[in-house]
Amino acid sequence: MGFQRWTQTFCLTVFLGLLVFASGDLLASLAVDAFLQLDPSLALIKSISARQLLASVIPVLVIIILTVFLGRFFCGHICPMGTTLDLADQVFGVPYKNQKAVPHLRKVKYLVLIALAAAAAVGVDYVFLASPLSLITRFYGLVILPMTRYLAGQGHQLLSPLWEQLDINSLLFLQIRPQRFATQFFVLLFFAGLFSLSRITPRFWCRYLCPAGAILALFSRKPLVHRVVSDQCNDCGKCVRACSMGAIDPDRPLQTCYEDCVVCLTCEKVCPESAISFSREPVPAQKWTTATLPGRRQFIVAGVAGTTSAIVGLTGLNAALAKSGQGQVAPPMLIRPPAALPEPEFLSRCVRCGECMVACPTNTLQPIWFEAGVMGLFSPALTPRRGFCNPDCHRCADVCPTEAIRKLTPKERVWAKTGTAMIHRQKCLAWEFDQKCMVCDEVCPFGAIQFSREPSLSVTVPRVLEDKCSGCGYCEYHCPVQNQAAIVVTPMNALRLEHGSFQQAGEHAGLRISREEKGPPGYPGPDSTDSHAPGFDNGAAPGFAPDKEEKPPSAPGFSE
Amino acid sequence: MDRRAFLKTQLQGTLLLSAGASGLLLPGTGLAAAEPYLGIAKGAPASATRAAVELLGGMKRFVKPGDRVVIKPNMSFNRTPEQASNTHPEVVRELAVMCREAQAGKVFILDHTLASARLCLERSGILEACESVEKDMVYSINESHLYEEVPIPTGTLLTRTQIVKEVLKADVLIAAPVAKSHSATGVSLSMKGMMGLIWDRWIMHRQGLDETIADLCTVLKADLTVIDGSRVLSTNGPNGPGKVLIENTIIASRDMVAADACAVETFTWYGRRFKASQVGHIREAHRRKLGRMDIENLTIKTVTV
Repeated sequence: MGFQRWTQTFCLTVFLGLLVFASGDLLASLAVDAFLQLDPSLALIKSISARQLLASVIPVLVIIILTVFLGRFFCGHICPMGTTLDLADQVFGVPYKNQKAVPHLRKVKYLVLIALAAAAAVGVDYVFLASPLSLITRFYGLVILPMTRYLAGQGHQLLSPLWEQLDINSLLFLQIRPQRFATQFFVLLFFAGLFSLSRITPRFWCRYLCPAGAILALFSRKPLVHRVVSDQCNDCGKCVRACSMGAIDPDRPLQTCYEDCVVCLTCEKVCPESAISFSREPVPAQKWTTATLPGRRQFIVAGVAGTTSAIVGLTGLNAALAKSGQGQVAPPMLIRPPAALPEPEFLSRCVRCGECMVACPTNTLQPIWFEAGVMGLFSPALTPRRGFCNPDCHRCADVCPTEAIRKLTPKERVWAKTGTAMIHRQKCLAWEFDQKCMVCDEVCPFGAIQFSREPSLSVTVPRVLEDKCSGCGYCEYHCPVQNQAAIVVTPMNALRLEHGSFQQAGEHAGLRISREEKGPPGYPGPDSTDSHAPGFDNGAAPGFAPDKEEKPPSAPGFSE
Repeated sequence: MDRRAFLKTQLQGTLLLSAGASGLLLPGTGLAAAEPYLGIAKGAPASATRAAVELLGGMKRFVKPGDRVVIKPNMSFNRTPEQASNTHPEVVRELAVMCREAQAGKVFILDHTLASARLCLERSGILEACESVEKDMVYSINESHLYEEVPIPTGTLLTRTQIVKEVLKADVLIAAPVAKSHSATGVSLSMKGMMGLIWDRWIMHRQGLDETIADLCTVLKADLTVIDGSRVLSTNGPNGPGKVLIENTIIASRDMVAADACAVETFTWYGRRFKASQVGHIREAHRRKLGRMDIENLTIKTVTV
């Protein structure tokens, strides 16, 4: 195994390890988003669209400076997308003679970058559609990891007779939390498409399309350490056939397209004459046969295309504009993670990597489809029917690479109201069917369900105390009414703050979010003379047929 | 013990109890007359727990050497012991210690938590308290494959349910609920607590809680019930936060219904006193002769430790 295979294996293992770590039950203290911080396309486009330099600019600058010296080593050694595509090439790839390199597509990656930057300049962020780290994190996090969990769970269940024989508690009760995600088929199809491009050329994505690769290519036009071919070269062409990036001129193997060389060192290894080395030796001036940079016209077209698509996005019905209010059409049930930035800022920050969804212990965070328009694609939303949002947990913020979800202290976190629960009385067991239930009250961590009596009903019925509700969704998750719950969380009065204290803002808005005290009891009041307490019957119970042998008011089985 | 045998024993128990409830084997007139029907101990959680069980003849009466024991406390809420939504950790711990002393083969402390399992187990204090007795004893069973569907032969509304497999395997089931109010069922005690050992609780809400709780308790009948009244969540239960009464009382019985009835009448709820017959599911269980709620007719022995 060559040097590159080692570094690639190491980096992919660390990447996957961090992802598994993020999804574990341990609190994430490691930088599980480390790889996302290294993606130049994310750092650049996000900084443009969010109108401020993101923290990840620093690691990316380090990568870029190293690229000036070493070339696109990031693509060849570190990027998990590159490694995955190399693996796919091994499985789906075709021999060199069947490959159909399309060198004039090289410039497409720059055009992609220009289009994304132009859209970002207008304030619209489409980078999640093309950032390699965003794509690959989504692929492993939302598709591969859940599958792995599923198989592990099934395997564990299959072996349950063995665990029972062994009678070891920790194995008997091992519970592998299943994760399920929306949109995973789309992610899978996208990657199936990427992998099938191996039939055309290896690393089709890295050569022709990747915007991160484009940025790095700009800085590796003349790297300090580069491929040098000595005059021992006999034009055998082995290196040409071995180069996964098509960075060696097929007709003149002495020539290297440094922008596309990912310094995998394969050519050096395969050369039978040992004519190839990577060193600082100067090379004679080269002229690449096809232009690698886009022409001015193409540059302008890409820029216009990016701006146009951004403006089309902004004129979409669901576009989240800076000032919310009248005339804004937002998905009725779209609930963002706790402490998500105000919607426009949130969308311009969120890289749709799926880390928050991978990390969410209750699986309530799901990628959305087109509910919020193309601009909201793959962004995370709370899905209370799938899981509640634990007020003690803020893993989504811990793992978010761009702080689209603000990191808060545990005390502040409790105040990060995500919405307000509402009761559909016509579905509610108590309101509509006069059934004892009150599960919503039972599970509410904030005492935000008030029970009250209705003259026409025999049971206590729930009401939501809006000012105590944090929108956590315990009630919706646990509501015994099937499919759509009778109590649902709506985005009403969610606190979305770019700066400042959630507690202060909440208190200012009159909220009383607390787990230490219950709201004023609706029933029975402190001075109530009514002898009912919730759940108790007063004498002969309604709906309870008096026993014939014993007369009311004493209950059956009693003697006076 | 397999499911069939388990259900058979449960059925026999029910029949025997029906006989008892119908007066054929009234306590005081029956064979094992030395112990009271209800044991009440007042004192610190651990010592009162031990004393209450001693009143019934000690844990050896319930747990035979080698038995598999499941203790079902309340640990379903992410609340601290002071908030009284969960059983006091020392009560649970003491029960586990007593089972160990009686040479139980295996002891499990199981619940199906409503909030995140790890947080419930930790914040309730039960995990930590029981770690000192034995590692790997406390579990929340939150995955469906650990449940097995069984019929409820005498169920009226609930005729099938999925019960924790380990409970089906167990020789002894000990209910160890905290005494607390419940906004739908008045109180949540040992009978209501059995809902923490099944997978689909929500169907019971749709069908009617009082009847289905009684249905459930025909198959999930605790051999020993120990109600933790060291603190009582008197209002806003089952989750709270609500008014917590410090009562330092532990109630034990072989009869879930009697233990629950006793707890209803011993403590105040929403500042008032209630008869056990005012609690729908207790009244229903009594009517079906699953146990007795007429505690005024039962022998009660109280000690202070």
